Amino acid sequence: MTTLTALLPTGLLSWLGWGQGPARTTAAAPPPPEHAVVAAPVEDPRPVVLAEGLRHYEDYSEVVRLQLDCVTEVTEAAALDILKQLQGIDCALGDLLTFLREASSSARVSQMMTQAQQQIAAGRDTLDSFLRSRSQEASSEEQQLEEVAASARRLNDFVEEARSIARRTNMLAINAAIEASRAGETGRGFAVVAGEVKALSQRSDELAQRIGSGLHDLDSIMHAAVEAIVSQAAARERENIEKISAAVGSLMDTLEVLVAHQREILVKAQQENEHIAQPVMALMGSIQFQDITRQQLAHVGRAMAVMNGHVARLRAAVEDPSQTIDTGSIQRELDQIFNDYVMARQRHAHTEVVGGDKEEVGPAIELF
Amino acid sequence: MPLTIMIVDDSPTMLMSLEGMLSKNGYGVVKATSGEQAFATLKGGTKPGLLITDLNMGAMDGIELIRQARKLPGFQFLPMLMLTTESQQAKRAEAKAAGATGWLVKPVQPDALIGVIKQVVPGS
Repeated sequence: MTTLTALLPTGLLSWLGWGQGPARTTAAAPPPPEHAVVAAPVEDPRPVVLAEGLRHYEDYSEVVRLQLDCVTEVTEAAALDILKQLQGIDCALGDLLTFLREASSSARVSQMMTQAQQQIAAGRDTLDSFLRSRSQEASSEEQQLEEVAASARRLNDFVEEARSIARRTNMLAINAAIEASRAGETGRGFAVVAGEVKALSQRSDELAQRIGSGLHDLDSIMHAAVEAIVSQAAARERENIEKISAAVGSLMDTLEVLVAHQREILVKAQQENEHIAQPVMALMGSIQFQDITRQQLAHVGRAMAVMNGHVARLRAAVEDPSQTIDTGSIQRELDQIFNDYVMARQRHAHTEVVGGDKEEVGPAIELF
Repeated sequence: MPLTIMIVDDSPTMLMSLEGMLSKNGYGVVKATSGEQAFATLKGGTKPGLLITDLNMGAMDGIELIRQARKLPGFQFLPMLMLTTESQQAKRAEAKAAGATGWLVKPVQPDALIGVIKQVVPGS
């Protein structure tokens, strides 16, 4: 039968107070002097202490196993919470990206430009309508002035008629004077009347000429007035239209700059948003560490249980010396622990302590 | 029609991580938490375009799931990937013999995962 100290790891023996040297218990007491009276043999207390220590180890390993379960539960809950938060962020980023894509799309900008152009075209139509209305009003004013000028020309005809009458009256007066001269003394009075008639006809002609001249002046003034009204109004309106046109052009330029600036901002925001989305996705992948840790902790828990079983058997052997101890069991259990590993890193850690060939790690991604 | 991918893992964290990455890239996702549940779902008529399974999952592990799924009608050429912490050559060979299309070691980042999916399901 193998001694117990040979089966237990050095660390465990030290923890139990059972090192390779003298034990810390009564075994460390100095030997009795030679002349002393030999007392009755005292029962060796070490098996009892050892069994008690092994029982504590079992309890302690159970505590550790429960702590590992607790760590797994807590990290899993935290990982799921982080994933939910990440999904929330990702969802919000997705919504924002969709909005930004729609807002900064060429179709959207074209739509805005088209709307602006339609509004400006509507403004121009209103302006044209105003101009047509103004043109009609100017024509009406011109027509009225033309009618006044026509009336003046008609008066001129009357003046010509008056002058014609004056000329014929003058001829008549001349003829009357000739006939009065032929009549001699009897026609003298008639000659005086003829002279008066002639003077009146000449006076009438002079007045008619003055009226005609006045009417001619009036006609000129009216033409000048019509010309002035129409051309000046047209010039003023042209000037105003040019101002309005310049303002509309400036408005369009400003609008295009504004739209371009807005598009630039949206594209930039879109790019930044995509930059943020990438690490969010990467974090979703990185959170898989929790599953890896969970599997590692689960294996540590299983290894603790195996060791616990071994320690329980050792304790049973201590408490009942008649029991035999299977010396190969610990190696088989260690082999079982090795075979249960789920990743190369675990096997590397194992072989670094207990020895063995280092495993060759394959590629992280392999397609068959 | 987006590609539907069945993901099989006993870890809620893994399922949520994979679902997030896949759905973000426009794939449909069907989840199963064990080999048995996945096999029952496939047998029930669900026909994904790709299967991604963990290795260590209790009674029916990922390799056994692939082996059984390959026997179902219509699943002979379906791409099936192993996604596991394990990287042993012997296990890879076993998975390959069972009908696995490829082997991915956890953790897998989104770009790498999507790259593999596009390789095994061209046009997805």
